[in-house]
Amino acid sequence: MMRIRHIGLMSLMLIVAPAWTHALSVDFDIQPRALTLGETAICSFTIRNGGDAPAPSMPAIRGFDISPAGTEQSINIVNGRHDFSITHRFRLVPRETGTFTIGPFQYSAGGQTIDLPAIEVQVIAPATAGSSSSGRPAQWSDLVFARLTTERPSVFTQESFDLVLSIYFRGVNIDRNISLMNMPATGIALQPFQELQSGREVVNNDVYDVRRFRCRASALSSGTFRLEPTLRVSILTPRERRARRDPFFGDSIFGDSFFENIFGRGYEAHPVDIVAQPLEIAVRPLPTEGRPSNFSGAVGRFAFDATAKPTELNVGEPINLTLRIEGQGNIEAVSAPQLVLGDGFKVYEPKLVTREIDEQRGVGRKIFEQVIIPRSPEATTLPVISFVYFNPQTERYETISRGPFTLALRADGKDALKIVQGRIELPEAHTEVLGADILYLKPAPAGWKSVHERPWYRSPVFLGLQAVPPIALALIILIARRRDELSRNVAKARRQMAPRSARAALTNAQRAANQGDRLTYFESIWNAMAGYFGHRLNLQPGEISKDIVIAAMRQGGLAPTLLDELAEAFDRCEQMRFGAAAVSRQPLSSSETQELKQWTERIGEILRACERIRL
Amino acid sequence: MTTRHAIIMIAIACLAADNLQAEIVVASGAPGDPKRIDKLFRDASQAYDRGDYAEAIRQYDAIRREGIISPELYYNLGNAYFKRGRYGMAVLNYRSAWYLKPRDADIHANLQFALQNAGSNAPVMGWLASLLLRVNFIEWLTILLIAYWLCAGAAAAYLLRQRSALMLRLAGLTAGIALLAVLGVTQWWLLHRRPELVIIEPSRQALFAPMEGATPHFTLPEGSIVRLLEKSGAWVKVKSGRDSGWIPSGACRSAWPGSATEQAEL
Repeated sequence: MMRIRHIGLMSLMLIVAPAWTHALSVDFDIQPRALTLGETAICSFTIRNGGDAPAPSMPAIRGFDISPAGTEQSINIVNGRHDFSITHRFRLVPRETGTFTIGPFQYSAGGQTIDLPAIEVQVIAPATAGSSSSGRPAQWSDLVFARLTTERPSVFTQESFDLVLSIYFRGVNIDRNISLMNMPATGIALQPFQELQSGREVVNNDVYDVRRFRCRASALSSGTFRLEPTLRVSILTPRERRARRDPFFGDSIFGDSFFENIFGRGYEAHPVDIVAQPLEIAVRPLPTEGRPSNFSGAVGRFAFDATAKPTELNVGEPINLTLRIEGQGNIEAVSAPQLVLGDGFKVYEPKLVTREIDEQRGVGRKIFEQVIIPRSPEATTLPVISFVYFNPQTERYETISRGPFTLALRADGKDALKIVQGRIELPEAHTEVLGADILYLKPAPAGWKSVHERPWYRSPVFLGLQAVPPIALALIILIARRRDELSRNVAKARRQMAPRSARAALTNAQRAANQGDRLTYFESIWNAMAGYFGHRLNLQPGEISKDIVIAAMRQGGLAPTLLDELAEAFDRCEQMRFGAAAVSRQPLSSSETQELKQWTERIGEILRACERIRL
Repeated sequence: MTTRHAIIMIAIACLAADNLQAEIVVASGAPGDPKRIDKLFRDASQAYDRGDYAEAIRQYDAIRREGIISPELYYNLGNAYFKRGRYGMAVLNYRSAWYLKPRDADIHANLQFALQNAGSNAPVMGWLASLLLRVNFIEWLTILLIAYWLCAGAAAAYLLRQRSALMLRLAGLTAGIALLAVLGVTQWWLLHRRPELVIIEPSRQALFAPMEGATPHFTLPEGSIVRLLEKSGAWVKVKSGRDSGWIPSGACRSAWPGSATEQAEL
C-alpha cells in the first residue's frame, strides 16, 4: 500500500475585523475518512468569529482531485451572545488507493496562528457485489459484526471505566433500534449506552459504516469477567414487489406501486443476532498494602478542599465546615471524610448540600456541610482534615489534606455588654446539671401478653363480625330504595298491597261463616273484593263498582266464566248487604255454612286468577 | 347520636386500647405462668438494683424467651444492657419498647440517650410517617374499627331516617377518621414487612457487595438503626439515610417486638 504524507502550509493573512467579540477558532474535518475509489470525501474548514475573513484556498494534494463544494454561514445567538461561523467545503475525489495524511495546516489571521492537526484518509479499491475485497464470497459475519472494547482491560474494584460497543456493517442497512443481551448481571454495573458520532472504518480492506455506543461501567467485585454480549439488530432489506397485479386498480394511482414509486419501495426488517467479539476484564481488589485507615471507598481521581467559617467565635457557637470533593470516579459512593476531634468539640453529622453528578462521564461534585461547636476555650485548632482515595492510574492511595484551622475563641459572653452594678447576693436561679444517665426501671405491668396468644383482631368470630356492616348496609340500601320508589309511585304501592288486603278480608269472611254471621260474612266478602280491586286498579273507595271492575278484568284477559262468577259475586254481596234486613240477620244453617265456605274459596281462586293477569 | 358523642366514643376507645398494645405478634400455643413471670421480673429488677446487670439481663431475657411482649420488659432489658455498656443491644430493646408505646417519654428519653452514647442518630422519617407512628398499631386498629362501625351505623341511619344531614356529616367524619387509621395501620404494616435493624456490634462497615473482601461503602456505628432492604444468604442489605450497603446478618437484629429468638448477649 502506498503511503503518502502530505504536509501543506496554508497561510492566509487576514484583516482583523473590529467587530470580533470572541476568540477566533478553526475546525478542520474530513468525512468520510475511509472510502473506496469512486466515492467522494468532503473536507471542511469551519472558521468561528473570523469576521469577513476571505475563504481559505486548498493546496493540491497528491492522489486527490480537489474542487470547491460551497460555503455555509451561520449565526448562533445564545443569551445575547453572537457566534458567527463560516464553513468552507472542498470535494476530495481519490485517484488512487492508499493511506493519505492530509495536513497538518496552519491558519494565520490577525497575528494569530492556529494549528490544524493532520487527518488520515484511507482509500481502497471497490469490492465486487456479494464478495469482499479479498475476493471470497461475503458471509453474514463479514457484512455485520460487533466489537466491544475498553481502554482499561484491567481495573480495580469500584473503578469506573468506559466500554465502547461498535457495530460494523457494509452493504446492508440496519435499523436504529438495537437490543443488547447477555450482559453480566453481577460483578460489573453498567450505565445505559449512549450513541456516539457514527463514521466509517476500513477493516480487512473493506470499508464499513460504524455505529458506536459508549457506556460507563464500574466494577463491583474482583475477578475476571468475560463480556460477550449478543446484539439483536434488524437488517433492512427492500420490500419485494408484488408478483400479481391488483385486479381493481392495477398500476393506477391507487395501487401500491404508485406509492412505492413516490415514497420508495419500503423496507422489511429481518432480526439477526450478532455475538460481539469477547472482551475479558480483569478486576483486581483494592490493595490492602498502604491503605490508610480513613479510606472510605473513593476510587478515581479527585480534588478535595475544606473551609471553616467563622474562625473567630465564642465557645459554644457553631463553625460551618464546608467540604468539597470533585473529580472522576465513583463519586456517587464518596462520603465526607470522618472527623476525629476529641472532647473539645461537638461534631454533628455532615449534610450533603450539593450533588452534581454526570453518570455517563463518571464525573461530579459533592459538597458537604458539617457543623462543629467548640466546647471549651482550649479547643483552638481544628486538626488536619484528610480525604483519601485510590488512584487506579498510579495504583496508589492518595491523600489530600486541608488544615489545620486555627480558631480564635473567646470565652462565652466576654464581648457582651457589661452592666456595672454593685454585687447583689441572689439565690441561684437555675438548676445545675451534674450528670446525665438513663431513666430508672419501669414497674411490672398489670398483665402479661404473649406472642403465643391469638390476638383479638385475628379471631374468626371477630373477623366474621366485620362483614356484618357492609351486608346490613347493602340490605338497608335495598329497603330504602324500595321505600323511596313506593313513596313516589302510589299506584305501584297500592298494587302491592292488593293481595294482602284481600287475604285479610277473606280470613274474616271464613271466621264469620263459621260463626254463622251472615251479614258480617258478606260484608267481609265485599271488603275483600273492594279492597283488592281498589288497590289493584288504584281506585278511590267510592269509585269501585261491578261495571268498572268487570270492564278492567275483561280488558286484562280474564276468562269469561270467571268474569261471570265475579259479576255474580258482586251482585250477591250487594243483594245481601242492601237487601231485606230480616233475611240478612238470619243465622246460617249448617248446609249454608258449608256452601259459603266453598264459595269463599272460589272467590279466593277468582282473585288469584285476577292477580295473575296483566293490566 | 351526635358528632360530639362519636368523638367521645373514639377517645374512650383510644384510652382502652392503651392496655391492648402488646398484642402485635401472633402465634399459637400457651402463654407462660403469670406468677412465675412476675417473680422473674422482680428478681431481675432486684439484680439491677444490686448492680448485677448480667444477672438482670439473664432474668429479663428469660421472660422474653417465654414469648412475652411488653414495653416495660424491653425498656428494663434496654436499661440493663446500657449499664453493661452494650449500647447496641440497649438501642435494640428501647426501639422494641418504642414500637409498643411510641408516646412514652421515658422510652424516648432512654433511646435518645443510648443513641447519643453509641455515637449514632435516630433514623430520619418523613413528617407523615413520624405522625402516624406516634400511635401504635393496636391503637390505630381500634380507631379504625370504631370509625368503621360508626360510619356504617351513621350511613344506615341516614338511609332509614329521612336523610338526616347530621347523620351524613357523622358518616363523613367517621369515614375520614377510618381513612386516617388505614394509613396508620399501613405504616406499621410496612415497618413490619421491612423492619428496622439495629447494629449490635461495636462498629460495622457496610460493603458494596455481599461478600468478604468487598469494598467498604460506609461505616455503621453500634446502635445504628437501619432499614432492611433485602437478604442474600448470611448477608442483609440495609439502608441508612441515603446510603445502602451489605452487612452480615449476625451484626444486626430486628427491632420488631417478638422477632428475636437468640440468647441474651452478655
